[in-house]
Amino acid sequence: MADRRDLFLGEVRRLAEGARTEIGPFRDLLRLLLETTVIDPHQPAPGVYYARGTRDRADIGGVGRYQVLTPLPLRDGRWLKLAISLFVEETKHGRRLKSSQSTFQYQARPEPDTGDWIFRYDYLRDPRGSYPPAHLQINADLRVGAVLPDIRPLARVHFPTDRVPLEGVIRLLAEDFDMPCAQPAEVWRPVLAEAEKVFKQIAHRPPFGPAA
Amino acid sequence: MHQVSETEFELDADYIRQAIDAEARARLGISGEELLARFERGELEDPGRVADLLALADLLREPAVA
Repeated sequence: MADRRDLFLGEVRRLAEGARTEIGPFRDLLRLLLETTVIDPHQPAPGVYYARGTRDRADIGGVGRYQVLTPLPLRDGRWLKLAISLFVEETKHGRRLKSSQSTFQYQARPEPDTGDWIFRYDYLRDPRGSYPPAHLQINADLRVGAVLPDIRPLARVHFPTDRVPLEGVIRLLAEDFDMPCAQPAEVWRPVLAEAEKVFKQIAHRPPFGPAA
Repeated sequence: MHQVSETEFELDADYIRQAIDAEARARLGISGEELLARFERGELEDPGRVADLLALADLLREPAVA
Protein backbone atom coordinates (compact mmCIF):
# COMPACT_ATOMS: atom_id res chain seq x y z
CA MET A 1 0.00 0.00 0.00
CA ALA A 2 2.78 2.43 0.93
CA ASP A 3 4.57 1.68 -2.34
CA ARG A 4 1.45 2.45 -4.35
CA ARG A 5 0.85 5.64 -2.38
CA ASP A 6 4.43 6.78 -2.93
CA LEU A 7 4.17 6.01 -6.63
CA PHE A 8 1.10 8.22 -6.96
CA LEU A 9 2.66 10.95 -4.82
CA GLY A 10 5.73 11.02 -7.04
CA GLU A 11 3.53 11.33 -10.11
CA VAL A 12 1.50 14.13 -8.50
CA ARG A 13 4.68 16.08 -7.75
CA ARG A 14 6.00 15.60 -11.28
CA LEU A 15 2.75 16.68 -12.92
CA ALA A 16 2.22 19.56 -10.52
CA GLU A 17 5.60 20.98 -11.43
CA GLY A 18 4.71 20.89 -15.13
CA ALA A 19 1.25 22.26 -14.42
CA ARG A 20 2.76 25.52 -13.20
CA THR A 21 3.40 26.49 -16.82
CA GLU A 22 1.66 24.09 -19.21
CA ILE A 23 -1.90 22.99 -19.85
CA GLY A 24 -1.11 19.35 -20.71
CA PRO A 25 0.42 18.39 -17.34
CA PHE A 26 -2.42 20.22 -15.56
CA ARG A 27 -4.97 18.09 -17.41
CA ASP A 28 -2.94 14.95 -16.64
CA LEU A 29 -2.88 15.90 -12.96
CA LEU A 30 -6.66 16.31 -12.88
CA ARG A 31 -6.98 12.99 -14.65
CA LEU A 32 -4.80 11.28 -12.06
CA LEU A 33 -6.79 12.80 -9.20
CA LEU A 34 -10.08 11.70 -10.73
CA GLU A 35 -8.90 8.24 -11.74
CA THR A 36 -7.56 7.44 -8.28
CA THR A 37 -10.86 8.53 -6.76
CA VAL A 38 -14.36 9.18 -8.08
CA ILE A 39 -14.56 9.01 -11.88
CA ASP A 40 -16.28 6.08 -13.59
CA PRO A 41 -13.38 3.93 -14.87
CA HIS A 42 -15.21 2.99 -18.08
CA GLN A 43 -15.55 6.56 -19.33
CA PRO A 44 -13.04 8.87 -21.03
CA ALA A 45 -11.02 11.17 -18.82
CA PRO A 46 -11.45 14.94 -19.01
CA GLY A 47 -10.45 16.41 -22.33
CA VAL A 48 -8.62 19.57 -23.33
CA TYR A 49 -10.39 21.97 -25.67
CA TYR A 50 -7.88 24.41 -27.15
CA ALA A 51 -8.79 27.61 -28.90
CA ARG A 52 -7.91 26.90 -32.55
CA GLY A 53 -4.32 27.71 -33.38
CA THR A 54 -3.06 28.09 -29.83
CA ARG A 55 -1.79 25.93 -26.99
CA ASP A 56 -1.85 28.79 -24.48
CA ARG A 57 -5.61 28.92 -23.89
CA ALA A 58 -7.93 26.00 -23.27
CA ASP A 59 -10.89 24.61 -21.36
CA ILE A 60 -10.81 21.33 -19.52
CA GLY A 61 -13.96 19.27 -19.15
CA GLY A 62 -15.76 16.08 -20.03
CA VAL A 63 -15.70 14.57 -23.50
CA GLY A 64 -19.06 13.77 -25.05
CA ARG A 65 -20.04 12.34 -28.39
CA TYR A 66 -22.06 15.39 -29.38
CA GLN A 67 -21.17 18.03 -26.80
CA VAL A 68 -18.10 19.67 -25.38
CA LEU A 69 -17.55 20.07 -21.62
CA THR A 70 -20.07 17.32 -20.98
CA PRO A 71 -20.55 16.18 -17.34
CA LEU A 72 -18.27 13.37 -16.18
CA PRO A 73 -19.84 10.11 -14.97
CA LEU A 74 -18.95 9.18 -11.40
CA ARG A 75 -18.69 5.88 -9.55
CA ASP A 76 -21.97 6.40 -7.70
CA GLY A 77 -23.98 6.72 -10.92
CA ARG A 78 -24.17 10.49 -10.64
CA TRP A 79 -22.24 13.15 -12.55
CA LEU A 80 -19.73 15.95 -12.12
CA LYS A 81 -20.01 18.93 -14.45
CA LEU A 82 -16.47 20.22 -14.55
CA ALA A 83 -15.21 23.12 -16.62
CA ILE A 84 -11.93 24.95 -16.03
CA SER A 85 -10.70 27.76 -18.27
CA LEU A 86 -6.93 28.06 -18.45
CA PHE A 87 -4.48 30.48 -20.00
CA VAL A 88 -0.72 30.82 -20.01
CA GLU A 89 0.73 34.20 -19.17
CA GLU A 90 4.23 35.63 -19.14
CA THR A 91 4.69 37.26 -15.74
CA LYS A 92 7.63 38.92 -14.01
CA HIS A 93 8.22 35.53 -12.40
CA GLY A 94 8.23 33.80 -15.77
CA ARG A 95 5.67 31.73 -17.63
CA ARG A 96 2.64 30.81 -15.51
CA LEU A 97 -0.50 28.76 -16.08
CA LYS A 98 -3.56 30.50 -14.66
CA SER A 99 -7.25 29.75 -14.39
CA SER A 100 -9.79 32.38 -15.36
CA GLN A 101 -12.80 30.40 -14.14
CA SER A 102 -13.92 27.03 -12.89
CA THR A 103 -17.13 25.25 -12.08
CA PHE A 104 -17.68 21.95 -10.27
CA GLN A 105 -21.28 20.79 -10.13
CA TYR A 106 -22.37 17.47 -8.59
CA GLN A 107 -25.59 16.37 -10.24
CA ALA A 108 -27.98 13.42 -10.41
CA ARG A 109 -28.48 13.46 -14.16
CA PRO A 110 -26.13 13.72 -17.15
CA GLU A 111 -27.65 16.75 -18.89
CA PRO A 112 -25.48 19.90 -18.59
CA ASP A 113 -28.50 22.00 -17.58
CA THR A 114 -30.30 19.51 -15.36
CA GLY A 115 -32.46 20.84 -12.53
CA ASP A 116 -31.30 17.85 -10.49
CA TRP A 117 -28.00 19.34 -9.43
CA ILE A 118 -26.92 18.92 -5.81
CA PHE A 119 -24.20 21.49 -5.14
CA ARG A 120 -22.02 23.75 -7.22
CA TYR A 121 -18.75 25.59 -6.64
CA ASP A 122 -18.01 28.42 -9.07
CA TYR A 123 -14.99 30.70 -9.42
CA LEU A 124 -14.48 33.69 -11.70
CA ARG A 125 -11.17 35.53 -11.68
CA ASP A 126 -12.80 38.56 -13.31
CA PRO A 127 -16.42 38.52 -12.09
CA ARG A 128 -19.35 40.67 -13.18
CA GLY A 129 -22.37 41.67 -11.16
CA SER A 130 -22.91 41.33 -7.43
CA TYR A 131 -22.02 37.69 -6.87
CA PRO A 132 -18.95 36.68 -4.85
CA PRO A 133 -16.14 35.68 -7.24
CA ALA A 134 -15.95 32.26 -5.58
CA HIS A 135 -19.11 30.80 -4.15
CA LEU A 136 -21.08 27.70 -3.24
CA GLN A 137 -24.69 26.97 -4.15
CA ILE A 138 -26.76 24.12 -2.71
CA ASN A 139 -29.92 22.87 -4.40
CA ALA A 140 -31.95 22.49 -1.22
CA ASP A 141 -34.68 24.11 0.86
CA LEU A 142 -34.21 25.87 4.18
CA ARG A 143 -35.83 24.06 7.12
CA VAL A 144 -36.61 27.44 8.66
CA GLY A 145 -39.33 29.37 6.90
CA ALA A 146 -39.74 33.07 6.03
CA VAL A 147 -36.02 33.74 5.91
CA LEU A 148 -35.44 34.41 2.23
CA PRO A 149 -37.56 36.39 -0.21
CA ASP A 150 -39.95 34.18 -2.20
CA ILE A 151 -38.13 34.98 -5.41
CA ARG A 152 -34.83 33.72 -4.00
CA PRO A 153 -34.91 30.08 -2.94
CA LEU A 154 -31.88 28.69 -1.14
CA ALA A 155 -30.54 27.30 -4.42
CA ARG A 156 -30.13 30.88 -5.65
CA VAL A 157 -28.07 31.96 -2.65
CA HIS A 158 -24.38 32.34 -3.46
CA PHE A 159 -22.42 31.55 -0.29
CA PRO A 160 -19.00 33.22 -0.54
CA THR A 161 -16.05 30.89 -0.28
CA ASP A 162 -12.35 30.89 -0.80
CA ARG A 163 -11.33 29.31 -4.06
CA VAL A 164 -12.11 25.60 -3.84
CA PRO A 165 -10.02 23.27 -6.01
CA LEU A 166 -11.05 19.96 -7.51
CA GLU A 167 -9.22 18.23 -4.67
CA GLY A 168 -11.66 19.76 -2.18
CA VAL A 169 -14.67 18.69 -4.21
CA ILE A 170 -13.40 15.11 -4.56
CA ARG A 171 -12.75 14.95 -0.81
CA LEU A 172 -16.27 16.24 -0.12
CA LEU A 173 -17.78 13.60 -2.41
CA ALA A 174 -15.72 10.78 -0.90
CA GLU A 175 -16.02 11.73 2.76
CA ASP A 176 -19.55 13.14 3.03
CA PHE A 177 -21.42 11.70 0.05
CA ASP A 178 -19.89 8.21 0.49
CA MET A 179 -18.66 8.14 -3.09
CA PRO A 180 -16.70 4.92 -3.74
CA CYS A 181 -13.11 5.58 -4.80
CA ALA A 182 -10.75 3.63 -7.06
CA GLN A 183 -7.96 3.61 -4.48
CA PRO A 184 -8.22 3.13 -0.71
CA ALA A 185 -8.34 6.20 1.50
CA GLU A 186 -4.76 5.53 2.63
CA VAL A 187 -3.76 6.32 -0.94
CA TRP A 188 -6.18 8.99 -2.16
CA ARG A 189 -6.10 11.14 0.97
CA PRO A 190 -2.35 11.89 0.73
CA VAL A 191 -2.60 12.19 -3.05
CA LEU A 192 -5.27 14.90 -2.75
CA ALA A 193 -3.34 16.60 0.06
CA GLU A 194 -0.16 16.71 -2.01
CA ALA A 195 -1.90 18.15 -5.07
CA GLU A 196 -3.73 20.69 -2.93
CA LYS A 197 -0.47 21.83 -1.36
CA VAL A 198 0.80 22.87 -4.78
CA PHE A 199 -2.53 24.50 -5.64
CA LYS A 200 -2.35 26.66 -2.51
CA GLN A 201 1.14 27.86 -3.43
CA ILE A 202 0.08 29.20 -6.80
CA ALA A 203 -3.67 29.83 -6.68
CA HIS A 204 -5.21 33.25 -7.12
CA ARG A 205 -7.20 34.09 -3.96
CA PRO A 206 -10.28 36.14 -4.82
CA PRO A 207 -12.00 38.56 -2.45
CA PHE A 208 -15.22 37.38 -0.79
CA GLY A 209 -17.37 39.88 -2.66
CA PRO A 210 -17.40 42.21 -5.66
CA ALA A 211 -15.38 45.41 -5.72
CA ALA A 212 -17.22 48.25 -4.00
CA MET B 1 -14.28 20.93 -33.91
CA HIS B 2 -11.03 19.23 -34.79
CA GLN B 3 -10.00 16.17 -32.78
CA VAL B 4 -6.25 16.14 -32.17
CA SER B 5 -6.18 12.98 -30.04
CA GLU B 6 -8.61 10.92 -27.96
CA THR B 7 -8.90 13.69 -25.38
CA GLU B 8 -7.54 16.76 -27.18
CA PHE B 9 -9.62 18.99 -29.41
CA GLU B 10 -9.34 22.32 -31.20
CA LEU B 11 -12.37 24.58 -31.34
CA ASP B 12 -12.62 27.41 -33.84
CA ALA B 13 -14.49 30.60 -33.11
CA ASP B 14 -17.50 29.75 -35.29
CA TYR B 15 -17.99 26.40 -33.58
CA ILE B 16 -17.76 28.02 -30.14
CA ARG B 17 -20.26 30.76 -31.00
CA GLN B 18 -22.71 28.23 -32.46
CA ALA B 19 -22.40 25.94 -29.42
CA ILE B 20 -23.01 28.82 -27.01
CA ASP B 21 -25.92 30.10 -29.08
CA ALA B 22 -27.65 26.70 -29.28
CA GLU B 23 -27.31 26.07 -25.54
CA ALA B 24 -28.31 29.61 -24.56
CA ARG B 25 -31.49 29.29 -26.62
CA ALA B 26 -32.26 25.85 -25.19
CA ARG B 27 -31.59 26.78 -21.56
CA LEU B 28 -32.66 30.42 -21.29
CA GLY B 29 -34.49 31.22 -24.51
CA ILE B 30 -32.01 33.92 -25.49
CA SER B 31 -29.25 34.07 -28.09
CA GLY B 32 -25.65 33.36 -27.24
CA GLU B 33 -24.82 36.96 -28.03
CA GLU B 34 -27.44 38.18 -25.55
CA LEU B 35 -26.21 35.73 -22.93
CA LEU B 36 -22.67 37.08 -23.14
CA ALA B 37 -23.88 40.69 -23.25
CA ARG B 38 -25.91 40.17 -20.07
CA PHE B 39 -22.92 38.56 -18.41
CA GLU B 40 -20.66 41.48 -19.33
CA ARG B 41 -23.23 43.94 -17.91
CA GLY B 42 -23.45 41.92 -14.69
CA GLU B 43 -27.13 41.25 -15.41
CA LEU B 44 -26.99 37.49 -15.85
CA GLU B 45 -29.22 35.72 -13.34
CA ASP B 46 -27.49 32.73 -11.76
CA PRO B 47 -24.38 32.63 -13.98
CA GLY B 48 -23.37 29.27 -12.49
CA ARG B 49 -26.17 27.66 -14.48
CA VAL B 50 -24.28 28.53 -17.66
CA ALA B 51 -20.76 28.36 -16.27
CA ASP B 52 -19.81 25.82 -18.94
CA LEU B 53 -20.93 28.25 -21.66
CA LEU B 54 -18.98 31.08 -20.04
CA ALA B 55 -15.94 28.79 -20.04
CA LEU B 56 -16.41 28.20 -23.75
CA ALA B 57 -16.72 31.94 -24.32
CA ASP B 58 -13.39 32.38 -22.59
CA LEU B 59 -11.77 30.67 -25.58
CA LEU B 60 -12.93 33.57 -27.76
CA ARG B 61 -10.89 36.12 -25.86
CA GLU B 62 -7.85 37.57 -27.52
CA PRO B 63 -4.57 36.64 -25.82
CA ALA B 64 -3.36 39.35 -23.44
CA VAL B 65 -0.51 41.43 -24.81
CA ALA B 66 2.45 41.42 -22.44
